[in-house]
Amino acid sequence: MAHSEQSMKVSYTVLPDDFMRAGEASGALKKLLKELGFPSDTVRRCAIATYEGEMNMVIHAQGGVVEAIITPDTIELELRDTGPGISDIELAMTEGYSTASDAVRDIGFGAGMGLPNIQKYSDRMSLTSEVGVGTTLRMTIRSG
Amino acid sequence: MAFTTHDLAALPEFNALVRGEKAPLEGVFCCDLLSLVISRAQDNCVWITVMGHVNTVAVATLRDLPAIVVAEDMPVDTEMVEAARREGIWIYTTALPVFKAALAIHEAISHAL
Repeated sequence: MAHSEQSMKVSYTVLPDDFMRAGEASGALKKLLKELGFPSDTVRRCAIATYEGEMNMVIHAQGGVVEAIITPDTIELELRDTGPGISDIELAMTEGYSTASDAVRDIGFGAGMGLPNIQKYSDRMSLTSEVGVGTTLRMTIRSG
Repeated sequence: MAFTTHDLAALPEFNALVRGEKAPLEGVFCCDLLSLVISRAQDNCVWITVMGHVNTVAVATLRDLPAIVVAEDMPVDTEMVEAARREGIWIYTTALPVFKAALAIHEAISHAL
């Protein structure tokens, strides 16, 4: 963890196919933001957006990395994976659209709400993806 | 006196499988889709689901929900129990279906007001 007076960088690894530990990265980040004294609405929006991104990496990719750069007024998040990539980002962003398996749907995921939730709860998001290479999701959450 | 997690444990139809800290319960949210729960559940509500697996605890933790009710006597995974103990989230089980469980808790909350 790099640390200076004005910004802090943290990084978490998300393991592939590990539904047992899914949510640990978001949980750890949420705990840190709370400890740093961010308002509960900021912590909540960050928790939702990170959890959805983390679950996407567990469900669709071989896990990945969550990086957060935290400053007093913004949280910049970057979620990177080396999964299959998204061929049609516009379609993936459509609420209700999902390519999750039946097994994943059976445990309450795959509603096609992940990316729309991320868009809703972050102040800015960008998604870049290359099929066969991976996906990078960047989001900004402003505080206060 | 507001209705709390302790009062829910005292209702005859509900069994407190994992106990957390005493917390107020002001409403009920029923859903099995995790994305909906994490984004739409209200503060201080008890969440009723039929899913007894560990991912529900992750969602409850991230959304600061104090309590989960697993309805319809659905099985609860060991991993869910362990995670709830770790995070201090209450788990209740009940044989009631989701609607009846929600109604019973709603009535108890209204009564306590």
